[in-house]
Amino acid sequence: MIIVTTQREGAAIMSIEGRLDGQHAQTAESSFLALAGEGNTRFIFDFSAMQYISSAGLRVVLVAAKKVRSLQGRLICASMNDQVRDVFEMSGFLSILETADSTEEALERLKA
Amino acid sequence: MTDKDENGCGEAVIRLDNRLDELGRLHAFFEEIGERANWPDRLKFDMTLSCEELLTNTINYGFPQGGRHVITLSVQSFPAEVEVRLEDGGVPFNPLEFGEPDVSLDLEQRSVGGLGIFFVRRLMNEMIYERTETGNRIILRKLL
Repeated sequence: MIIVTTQREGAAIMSIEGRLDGQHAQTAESSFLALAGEGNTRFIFDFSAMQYISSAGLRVVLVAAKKVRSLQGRLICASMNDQVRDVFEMSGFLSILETADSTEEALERLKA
Repeated sequence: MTDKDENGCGEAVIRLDNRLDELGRLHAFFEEIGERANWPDRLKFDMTLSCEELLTNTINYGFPQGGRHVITLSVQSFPAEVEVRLEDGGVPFNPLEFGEPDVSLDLEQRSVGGLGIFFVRRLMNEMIYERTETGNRIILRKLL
């Protein structure tokens, strides 16, 4: 799994490439917490290159969402593929998290 | 410890150490089976996810005494169904005993506890647990 972080228009974008599974969850969580520690409050999780997520990965997203709420910030999960979307849907996460079809759309929504 | 063999009737076996960094081998294993058996991507992901969730539980909770242990995963693919068998020598652990998470809770109250097994129940047609003389056995059946 490779994580690339970028800053755009006041948002921290975390792009995850590969699998967000039990082996990689800890790394992803640490990356997010580092971004939050730097003072970011608006986040986009770019899943366009993420092939797969399991419950361990969902835990990272949940931790992030709760942290963002405590910061009174925002988190949008963008560009989920079918497998990822299905896992979000099965777990009920789709209805409690903000999602977008693309990073561009997410950036637009963060401006609103 | 790698071991993978396949006999004529479509069975493949992999032996995994009880470490999370073995998950990559699990994914590669199903990738290859999926290729050979011409599985749709969705089936490949469903089988991989189900096994990863169960395997992760075993790795995290199955060996409180520590040490290196082997978990055996065997897959038999038939024309109309796939059967997976997970066997380990760990402490008794029956995933069927766990209640379902409440997936309707809002963000504040949500946790991910129990989600793994919840997914397995949703994705597989059958999940059977047996406590053997030496450990745990879980059998999954997915109808195609």
